[in-house]
Amino acid sequence: MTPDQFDERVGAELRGEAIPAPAGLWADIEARLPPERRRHVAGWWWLGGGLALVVLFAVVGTRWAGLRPDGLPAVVPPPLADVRTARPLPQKPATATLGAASDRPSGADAPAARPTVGPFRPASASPAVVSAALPGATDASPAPSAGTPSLAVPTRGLGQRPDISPVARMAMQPASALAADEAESAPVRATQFLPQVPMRQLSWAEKTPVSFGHYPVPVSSADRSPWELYLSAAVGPAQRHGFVFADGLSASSAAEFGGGFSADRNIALTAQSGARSGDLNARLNGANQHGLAGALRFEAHHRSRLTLAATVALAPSALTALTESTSVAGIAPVLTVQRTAFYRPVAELDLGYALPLGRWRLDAFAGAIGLSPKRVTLNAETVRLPTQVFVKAGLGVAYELTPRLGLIARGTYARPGSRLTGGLQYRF
Amino acid sequence: MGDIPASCASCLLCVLRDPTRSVLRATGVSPSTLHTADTDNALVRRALTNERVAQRALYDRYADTVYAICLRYSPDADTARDFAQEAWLRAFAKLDQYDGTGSLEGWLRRLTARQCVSLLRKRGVRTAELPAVLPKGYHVEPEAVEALSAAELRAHIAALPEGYRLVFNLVAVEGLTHAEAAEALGISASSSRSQLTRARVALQRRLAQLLTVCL
Repeated sequence: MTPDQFDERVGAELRGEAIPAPAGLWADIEARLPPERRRHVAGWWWLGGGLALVVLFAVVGTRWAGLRPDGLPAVVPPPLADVRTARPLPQKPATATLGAASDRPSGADAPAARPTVGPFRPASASPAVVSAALPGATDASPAPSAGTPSLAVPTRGLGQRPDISPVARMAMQPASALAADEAESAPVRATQFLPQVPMRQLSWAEKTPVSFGHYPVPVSSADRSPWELYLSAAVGPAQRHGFVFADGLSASSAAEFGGGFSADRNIALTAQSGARSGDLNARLNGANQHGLAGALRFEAHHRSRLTLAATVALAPSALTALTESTSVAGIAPVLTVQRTAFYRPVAELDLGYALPLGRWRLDAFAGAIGLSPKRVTLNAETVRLPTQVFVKAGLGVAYELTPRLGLIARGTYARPGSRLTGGLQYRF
Repeated sequence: MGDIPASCASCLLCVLRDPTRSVLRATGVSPSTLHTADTDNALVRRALTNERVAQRALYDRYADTVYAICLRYSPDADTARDFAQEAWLRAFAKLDQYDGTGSLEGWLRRLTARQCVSLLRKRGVRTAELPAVLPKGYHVEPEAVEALSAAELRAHIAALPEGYRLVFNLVAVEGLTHAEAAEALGISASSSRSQLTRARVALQRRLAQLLTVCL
């Protein structure tokens, strides 16, 4: 055996040797390691969130209090432009008649079965006028006021929108229709899209190169608690929505919160800050009256990670079903395409189903995403991250305690990183 | 090493994600096997931010290897423990120098060996150059080496003079070049070569004597 062979044989024998380290060695090492950087909620995060809340309630507060800035009742006609853009309506004379039909007799011989209402004036929306025009209109909900007659609309379950027919909507907001000089039909939007919905779908941004959905990817799940407190609130009646939300994570005192405002139920602009991930999110959510919903999201992370994502859902119910919020029964896919700093544009597909059962609602969803990484520079060296495929599936249940208050629980299996979510939802 | 990493001991998530974890924990399987989902590079990235969980995961994964290296360079177990502690602290401090291209284990092995040598030199180990008088070599059959366990080989190497032992460990076992070993030991490369030769001959002599006794 040559010297080199001898060295190699001895070296090979010893290189594979592993001897159990003595117990307590890690404790000694850990005691001498620099203290772990505490994830603290920076002051400017709180400041940003606080400002968002202030703006939110400043905008919504007047409506919430039932008054407009000019002192008129809150439920008054929306801006004319808003009504007309919602749906192109036929041109009519300036004076319209509530409940008018094309074949209705006119002139002095016409039966005075229903009162004729002239152009909108605040006084024309008084309870007396409306109750005379619409039987049952005196059952006001929310609490009636001088200018807010409305019909009680039955709710269909936790977080679900009431079934509002055009006629009922007109009955609820006669002034809106009248002010628009559109007496034959009320301006009804087919999509009552709650703006906080895509927000939850897209809100998670972990300390990772990518962030999407509910995935705590790719390696940060080990240090976090599986328990998540989810609070969601949507405020604002009628045409405008404001909302606040907060996530509390028990593992490291992290918090995410933010607020948003929707000038229209179909468009929402939200801002969110996350102390855990050091990210700042801004997104624009939208939905049209044909059932299409979408969201654009921009995220800025610490360590210069940027994420731009776009989401499209074929039906708003899909988003609602997937995001613990208002739900409509049915199956609908959600497709998300996003581009991140470390990964090429990827597509994520979710399928969700929500089943209302009286006061209960069952949610189920499944999804998958594949990540094809780019070469990235790490520690001054160019490395290639591994291609990853993540799958997730979950079941959720919600229970309606009251028409406005509900409990939500769901379990999500994801690879990697599963979680249990419990929450309380209150609809103002 | 039957203890479970802190991240897993308190993490219900891990148990829910992998129910077999509970079984593994109960059966005392090495916790290093429980982190197979995380690549070395992923753990390094997290450990670079001083994330304790990732540091612990790296420790769990390579603690036994590092300690074995320290034992080869140390005169006793207590010293090896000190060496291992210092090696890990240095590894975490220098983790940003790991470029991610080679294996983390190889990087750790070299770092540990250098750290052990450095500590030994601080303690006054004799690495002085020896006269270049080469002793006569001994013939040892390959099977004789293979017949010995790693622990037996380590014991024979530990019995070598300290200078021999260091060079042999650095070059023959850890795979350092003579230039690298010489730099670590503070000697010339030629001295490293000659000491390796002496170390090899001394080790072969011990093994030959052992085999003679055995036969």
